[in-house]
This record gives sequence, structure tokens and C-alpha cells, in this order.
Amino acid sequence: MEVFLGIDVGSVTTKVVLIDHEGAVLWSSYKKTQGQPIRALQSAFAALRRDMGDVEIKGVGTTGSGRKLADHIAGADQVKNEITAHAVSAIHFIPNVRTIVEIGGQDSKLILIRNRVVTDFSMNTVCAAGTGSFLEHQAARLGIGIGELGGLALSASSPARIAGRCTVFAESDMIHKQQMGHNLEDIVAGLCDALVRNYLNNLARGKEIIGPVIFQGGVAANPGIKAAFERELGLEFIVPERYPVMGAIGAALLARNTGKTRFKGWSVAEQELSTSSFYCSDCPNSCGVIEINDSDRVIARWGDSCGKWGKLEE
Amino acid sequence: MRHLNIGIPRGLLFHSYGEAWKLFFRELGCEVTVSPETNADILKEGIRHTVGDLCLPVKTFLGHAAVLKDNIDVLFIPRYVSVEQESYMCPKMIGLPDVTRACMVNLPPVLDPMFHVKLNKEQTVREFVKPVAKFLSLSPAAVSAACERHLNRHEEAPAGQHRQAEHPLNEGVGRSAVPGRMNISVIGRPYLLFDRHLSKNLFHFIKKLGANPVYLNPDRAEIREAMAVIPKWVYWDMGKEVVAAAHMSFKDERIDGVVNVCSATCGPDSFTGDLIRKRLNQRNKPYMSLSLDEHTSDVGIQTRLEAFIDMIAKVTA
Repeated sequence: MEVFLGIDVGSVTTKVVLIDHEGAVLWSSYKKTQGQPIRALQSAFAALRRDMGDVEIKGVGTTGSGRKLADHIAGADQVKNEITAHAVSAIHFIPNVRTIVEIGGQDSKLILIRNRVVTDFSMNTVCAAGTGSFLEHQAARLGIGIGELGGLALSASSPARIAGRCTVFAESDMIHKQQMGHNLEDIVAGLCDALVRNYLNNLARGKEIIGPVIFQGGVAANPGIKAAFERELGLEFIVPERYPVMGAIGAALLARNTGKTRFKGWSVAEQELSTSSFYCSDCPNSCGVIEINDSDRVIARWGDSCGKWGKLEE
Repeated sequence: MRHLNIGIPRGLLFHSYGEAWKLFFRELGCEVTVSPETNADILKEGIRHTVGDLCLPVKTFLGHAAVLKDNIDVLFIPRYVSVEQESYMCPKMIGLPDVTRACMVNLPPVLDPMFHVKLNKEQTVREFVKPVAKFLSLSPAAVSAACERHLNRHEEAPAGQHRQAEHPLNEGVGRSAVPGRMNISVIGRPYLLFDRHLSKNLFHFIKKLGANPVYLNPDRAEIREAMAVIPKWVYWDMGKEVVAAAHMSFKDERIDGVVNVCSATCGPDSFTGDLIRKRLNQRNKPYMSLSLDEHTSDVGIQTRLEAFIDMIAKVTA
């Protein structure tokens, strides 16, 4: 059987999927990166091999902000930006999709699709106030698990009004609401509303959001956010079965039509890989150069704008 | 006698008028030192000297002033109020000499003549010339002549030097669309676009992705044409040029997509950006606004450009 590997190294989580030629998902994993993308990737590979045996990979696609790193580690045939990857998988599962709302750990995206092609998109800029990290942080502050947040929000009777423009403001607003005596459910529901308002303000201004809308990314696990979006827009939000790994699926789908794969093989899971970095001092740009080392051998290097460190001597 | 060494920070309006300033001072017998292209150290210096809510280009400008200040006799920071009637520069540009003085200590003398197109040319020139003549102990007539020859030419071309082929940052950036290629028009203020460090070398990156980056520089007639399309004359100098470049890009059949590069906290750009999106893009051409600030990573810019180009190419699985 021909199988393809999709890897999405995000800022907070690392996603790996295995699909067949028709795009059916045979295996998937969704794990916290915990600031160690290489280790996260290696452990996902080890798990895949344990579950699926030594399958022969015909193509590899990587995406996410760590897509280059994943390429250096695994050897990719397609290194794709997240917008294209998410759009490709959403269209694969729901061909008539017209809007994709994707909220991940540290960034969020809005993608408009008409007649199965992307016609417009936006991504949040430096602020992560409307993303999964924001929710996770606030849940921790309220002493509840991230998984409970959505259920609590749904049971609220009168959501508290919370500022969602900035995490710092939201936090002080929440403390204030708690001290005023609002109950936990209402505060959590208010938090969901705040995130949705923040998303719509930052990403959706001037964009035509029409159904079918697909809601994907880690935050789609939260029924409170889904309900807040639906209330705000008057549209149904469809959460696909594979919502947390849609980017990885898209990368894998894109890798289907490559010839001979550049996949480096499963041995990467066992290599002693480490990274190091230095600031080049040859010119005032002081580029931060990253190296991946296999024991004491440098296997990849990047980050320099002139490209002179990128070329490795064999 | 040693010539007076005039230091010009390579920031903000230098990217529009710097070549003319150099010619002006050389004609007056001065030596001119321009700070090097922006790099990480210069930006760091600038951020160290500024208060938080100044925009990225002003921060960068102060970094340039900082690296220059100890090696020159005088810092040239002209106060550009307007280059055309009924329009104004951004207040941060108008107050630039004051901002620089307020943010930095141990500055050499700052020469800050005002360029303000008021009622007539003579008045504009007179005002600009007076402090320069006094500082250099030259006759106002000689300075006026140099000013007329090099500086007071805004009526002909708004940001004249970008029309010159020899502009060093022009390298490889097309002035018009190339048939048969994917042509991406890049619009925005010259001090962002032509600062390779701030703009993350995006012209180069667009080329690397296989598309042809195009920089259209509208002339007066083209600006007038664009102004006629929108409900209200754009008040901002430079903002007007960006709006006109957008209009030309949307109109030109050969341009496949438009990228508007702006600085994250730019007041004027927030107005013109909306105007461009709502009023000018009638045919719904692919359009993307890229906002830059000091935290912007190369990856963020590259992801957006890759996605934009994929969108135009209609990439599917």
C-alpha cells in the first residue's frame, strides 16, 4: 500500500499523520511540542512505527512554523505554508467549504474558499490573545482543565462581558468579574465570547464569511468557542473529525504527487539529535544560525540570510 | 580647509530624497556621510533610544542617527512638512528633529531646515535655505540655487530617485509587469520597501518563490487619476502615492496580486489601507496587507507570501 506522511510542527503542538493515496487517515498523533520539536517528532515517529510497523513511505509533506526543521529532520518532498495545507485538507473532506476558521496554539487563520480555491486569507499578527495559549493560560488561572472549559461555558446562563483585546486586560477583567461575584460558568463563557470577538476583529474585518464554515485546529475541541462563533455569526460551524491534525493531512495530501521521496527513513527516530545555535559575527546582521547535530556531526544548518552557513561540507 | 561633514541617517525620507540631499550638500562644498544599510545592530540601537509607541521606521531612523552622531560635524534632519499643497507628512516626520533631540543625548548640532510647500515655490525655498545658509556661512543665493537644482522638484516626481535606474536598492525590482510571469505588485512607503532589513528582503523572497516583484512608482498624473476614483483627496503625502500605486496595480491586467507593506502602528497607513481594500479593489484582485514591526519574524512574512502566491497559482492537492 502507498502511504504518505504529513508533519505539522506548530508552536505548541506537533502533529503527524499517515494517509493512503485516497487521503484516508491511517494513523495520527497530536502531542505537545513542549519547546522540543525534534524530540516531539522523534517520539511520534517511534509511536507510528510501533503501531504500524515499517511502512514504506512514498512521500512526505511538512507544514507549520517548524516546517523547515521538520524537513531537515525527516526529509520532505513538500514544505508548505499552513494556509495552503489547511485549505487543501478542508477541501478534501468538505469540497463545498467556503470558510475555514483555524485556531491553533499561537496563531489563528481565516481562509476564504470559493469554488475549491483559496480566494483570500488572513493570519493574526504578533498578538496571541485570541489563540489556544490564551485559553489554556486562563483555564489554568481559574484552576480548571482546558478540556472542561467548553462544557462549563455551555452551561452559563449570562456570560460575563470580558475584554478580549489583550491577554493582560482580559486577565485583570476576569479577576474583577470574579471579585464582583460572577460565577465560574459565566466567566468562562465570557472568555469564549472575548476570544471570538478578538478573532473577528483581527482577522475577519471586511471579509465575507459564508457557510459552509469549517472550524479546525486545536481550539475547535472547545464547544464553548464553537457556540460563541455560531451565536456571533449566525452560521453553523462544522468541526471535522480530524480537526486537530488537518494541517498535517493537507501536507500529506500535497506530497502524494511527488516522484521519488526524500524521506530519510525511520532511523531518524533513534538518532541522537541535538540543536545548537550561534550568532554569526561576520557582518553586522548578526544572524542567528541554527544547527542540528547527529552526535558531533552537523546534519543541517540554517537561519543565515546570506546562505553561507547553509551549505554543509560533506 | 577641512570640509564640513554632514551626517545623513539612512532612514525615513532618505529613501525618497536622499540622493538629492547628497547632491545638494556636495554642491555646497560639504562632505556627506550616510549611515550604512539597516542591520540588526542599528535597529537595536534605535529601539534602545526610543519610547515604546514610536513606529518601527522612526525607531530605525534613530538607530541610524545613533551610529552616525560621533563621526560627523552636523546631523541633517530636515523637517519635511509637505511636498505638495493640501497634503501633509505624518506628524512623526514633521517632528522628527524634535523627536531625535528628545530621545538622544550628546548629539552634534542638528541642521533641521523646514520643507513646507505653502503658497509658492519662492517661499518654500526661502524657508528651507535660511538656516542652511546661516549654518554653512554661505550666501542665501548660492544655497537657493542648489536647492532649486536638486530639491525643489517634487512637482515633477513625488519620490524622484526611485525613477532613477541607478538607485542602489532597485536591483532586480521590476518597474512594470513581465508578460507570462506571475507579477506581484509591492506597494508601500519607500522607507519600508527599500530597507532590506525591515522589509525582510521581501523582493528577493518573492523572486525566490518564482514570481516577479513589481514596484510601481506613480507620477503626478497617475496620482491625480487615482485621487479622482476615491471619494476624498488623500491628505497624506506618500500615503497618496501608495493609494495611487494600488490603483494602478488593480487596473493593470498583467498584475496578478498586490501586497501592501505597512508598519504595524502607522496611523496614515491604517487609513489608506482601508481605502485601498474597500474602494479601489473593485475587481477583487488578490490583495494582502503585510504589517511589519520589530517582532516580525522572517518566517511570518514568508508564510504569508508563500500562501499568497499559492493562492494566485490556485495550488490544490
